[in-house]
Amino acid sequence: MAGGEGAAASREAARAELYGVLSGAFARELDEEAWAHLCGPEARTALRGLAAACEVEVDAGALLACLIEGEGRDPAATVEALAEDYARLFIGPGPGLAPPYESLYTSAERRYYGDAFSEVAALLRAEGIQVAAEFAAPADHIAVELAIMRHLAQKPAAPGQPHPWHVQLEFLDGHLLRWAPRWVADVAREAATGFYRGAASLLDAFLSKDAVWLRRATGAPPAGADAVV
Amino acid sequence: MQPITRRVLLQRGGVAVGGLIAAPLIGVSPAGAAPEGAAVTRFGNAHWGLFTAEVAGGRLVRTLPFSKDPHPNRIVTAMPDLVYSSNRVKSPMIRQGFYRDRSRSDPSARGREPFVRVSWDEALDVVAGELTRVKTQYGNRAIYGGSYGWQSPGKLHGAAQALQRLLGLLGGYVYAVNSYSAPTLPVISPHVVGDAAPRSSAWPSLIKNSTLVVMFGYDPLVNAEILSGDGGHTIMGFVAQLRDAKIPVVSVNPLETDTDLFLKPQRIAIRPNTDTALMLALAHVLYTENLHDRAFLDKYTVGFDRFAEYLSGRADGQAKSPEWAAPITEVSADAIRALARRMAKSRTVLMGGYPLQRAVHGEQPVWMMITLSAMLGQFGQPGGGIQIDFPGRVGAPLGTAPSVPGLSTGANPVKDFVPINMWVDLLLNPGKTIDYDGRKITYPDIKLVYWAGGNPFHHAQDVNRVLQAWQRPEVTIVHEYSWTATAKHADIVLPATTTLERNDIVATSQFIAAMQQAVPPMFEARNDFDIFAALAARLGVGAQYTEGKDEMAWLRQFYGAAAQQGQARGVAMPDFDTFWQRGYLEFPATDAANALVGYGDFRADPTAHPLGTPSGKIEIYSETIASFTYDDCPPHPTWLDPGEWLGGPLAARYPLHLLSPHPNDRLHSQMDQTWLRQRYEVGAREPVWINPQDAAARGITNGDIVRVFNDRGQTLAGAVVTARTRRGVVAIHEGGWYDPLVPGQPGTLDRHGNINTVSSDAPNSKLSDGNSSHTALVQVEKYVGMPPAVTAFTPPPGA
Repeated sequence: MAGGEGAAASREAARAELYGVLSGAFARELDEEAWAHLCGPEARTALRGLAAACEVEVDAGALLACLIEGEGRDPAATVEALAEDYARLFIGPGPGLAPPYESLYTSAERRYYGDAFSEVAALLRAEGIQVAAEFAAPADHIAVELAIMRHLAQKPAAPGQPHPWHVQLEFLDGHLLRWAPRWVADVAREAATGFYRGAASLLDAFLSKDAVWLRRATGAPPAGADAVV
Repeated sequence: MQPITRRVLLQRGGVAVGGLIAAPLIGVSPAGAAPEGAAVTRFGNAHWGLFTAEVAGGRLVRTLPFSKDPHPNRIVTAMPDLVYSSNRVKSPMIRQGFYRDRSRSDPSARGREPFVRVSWDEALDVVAGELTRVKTQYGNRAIYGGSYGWQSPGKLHGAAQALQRLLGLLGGYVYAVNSYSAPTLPVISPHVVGDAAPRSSAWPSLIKNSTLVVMFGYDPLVNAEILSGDGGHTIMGFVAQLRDAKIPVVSVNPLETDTDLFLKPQRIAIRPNTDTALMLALAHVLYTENLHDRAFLDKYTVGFDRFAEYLSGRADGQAKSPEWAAPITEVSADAIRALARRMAKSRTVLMGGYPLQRAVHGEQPVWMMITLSAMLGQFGQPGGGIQIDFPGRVGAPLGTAPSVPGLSTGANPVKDFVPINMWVDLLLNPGKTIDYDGRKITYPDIKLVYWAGGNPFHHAQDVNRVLQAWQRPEVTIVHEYSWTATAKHADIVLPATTTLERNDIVATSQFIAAMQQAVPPMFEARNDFDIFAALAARLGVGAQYTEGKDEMAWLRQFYGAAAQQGQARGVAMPDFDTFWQRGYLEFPATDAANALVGYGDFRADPTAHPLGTPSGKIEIYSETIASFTYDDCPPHPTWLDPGEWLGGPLAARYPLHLLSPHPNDRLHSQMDQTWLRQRYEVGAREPVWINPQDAAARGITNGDIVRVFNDRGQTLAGAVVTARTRRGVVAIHEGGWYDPLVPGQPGTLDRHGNINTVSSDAPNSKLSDGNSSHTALVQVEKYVGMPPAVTAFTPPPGA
């Protein structure tokens, strides 16, 4: 990895942080305070730094452009537009135009609480974590799966043990990568606001890059060698 | 070793970006939380019978029919599909325009504007605010709380009842009477026999004693799938016994029903909406050939002689003979004559399906059926008489279960009501006066419509009129668990739980059963009861609404009342906790119940057991109805021109009569969003049955997408070419979800096959003002080009 141990450490921290940011982007609508801060120079610089450390600075461009544009605009009107976009994409009517649930994309029955949910729920139990009661959605929501990656990414290794990168790679391969690319395509096609389009495309690029990084970290062969499409 | 603790997955603070938009998603669980993942079984109930639910890993895995159900149906196995449907309403939502401008928003935008998600607090504040505003500005007569629906399966969580309980405490609401299922029975039956529905004999008694069964528009194998509780589907078993006993059956129906396929009866493929004419002709044969029971008529009925003036033709110059009836019904005079003679020679039971009522003049077939049975003189005799009542339960022997009370709706200070079929007219024509059962009703001016536990866009006929009506109120509020057309057209949508997401209790005469919550509420759904309790708290009536009781306290109270009653009657019931553990209690039918003969006591002693009619007898001629002087409901059974029928002038433009039977794999519109749809859909649309000759004449083959249309509207459907429907008759099962091409635009094409695009909401008479859904003429043509995709269920993308 470029830059040696210091860079590796900052990459590790940055990827965990970026998972957290992306989780938050899709977990709920943004309020005025959050939006105003995001559009400010401090948050944008921080986001650019995270993206750079994770090799997705270019892919963060659209999102950042949207935030730059947002600075100085009336936050109330923008937040309303974002909330409307969030609702039609992720809430309803119907499932929403891009419902962010793995089970809807991978279960044979195309309904909530499929096998993907069971597996993610089992992982939460094994890790000793659970979704907050206020977040009224099943565990295979994109925000939860991204939060799980953040948890795994910033969890310190057990003393004297190597870092369990493979656990993260298994979750990425076994869950996120199985559906997020298709979901991102739906968001890209249906989103009315630059924010959700930009955040989704950043997520797409980040997942790909992070998969490559994790494979190197685990010594696994690159995805192209054994990927089943 | 440290115990595993649940840790916060995302922490505040840290990098500025993450700290602000990554609010804690994962929380800490209390110590000693029960391990999830263990498999449990819950007992439950839905409209398709009792069932057990298997829950493992925090999700509902399977629902299986109750082990004691002798005829379980597959619908009950689709409950997981209902609970986890991609169509679930996940959050409280408000239509964009309404969110911004409230009652000043454009109501014509309903159904085509996006929604905004709001918190429960905000949603409840808005709803409470609107209720207060409308009440203050216009009064309680501006609130429509009829909220018709097919009832929720439980004593506590009845959505409409929970709504009406709140509205009653707030000063009242305009309500509705009768039903779409039985639009005329509860009106005509009291006039003729003094009961809300004629008393049936028990099936075992009929099987033992009848020697001829004549069915009019009746399909018990399909319709009896729907019940609530009851434990088992018993009617199917009785139909099988009917076959095994080799009792001859005659089935009068334009369609060859599932029951017909099973019983292989003598079929009379009558022209739709002409059953009254057929029955009059049968009566004419009995009368002119002296096969009628004069002694019975004299002793147990009033008005036969005046009716005979009409029947014979002395009154109007037209004898209601088989020759008269033949061109009307398209049943040969010989067949009519033969059937009448056969009926007179046999111990005959006449069975009427509910559909007889759902046509113009829908009280006439009911009245005439009772009259015909009276003329046979077998009323109140074992094996004779009539049967017309709720098909899931009619003739099922009664058990001894004490009755279990439910949530009371309390008093309603508002006295305004409409027959349910007229709610559309109510919204469209405030101030209009209509006739109903001898009364005048003047419509109030509705400003707020609140619907919980129903889908008016599906049960009301003529959906284009529904659209227009729905645009009239200032605010429309809907509770739903599924994004039905009604929810999509609402201003405010509140997510409700399904029956598996809460606890309740169900009771019939044979079973009292626990409905044990299987899974937590989905997403942000709440029980209707809890939603209304929260509104009640905001509106100052919280304590009266809940009476300080939580869910289980209410159930214990209901059960306790039944147990007390049971104790007084010598029927033992265990304590509540034992009952709840066990899941159900059984109260089998007694021998007396199995032998019940409808009106047996009346026949034995009409003085000691008079009917609840003015004369105490069967009223073939009703002085009461005579006093109404309704041109569309004379004082005795009468054949009246249906207007929109194959024998009328409109048939030149629309030569096919559309019938809309109850579907096999749904309860009306319920379950259309599940996998059950795969069993019957044709080209992703609701199927339409069309006779091979009618199909050939239109170049239609099996599987084609067709357009079904008339002046009222148009819908696509998938053709099923079958001789099960006679020439000139097409059939689309009711309940297919409405999927407008241009939402909110009256007349737009329905892509999926909701029959109410073409049906009429004209009331069937001034007496009942009920629905005439089986009176509709249409044309059918092959759809040319690529049919537009169905989006009623908004299938998840990437699929």
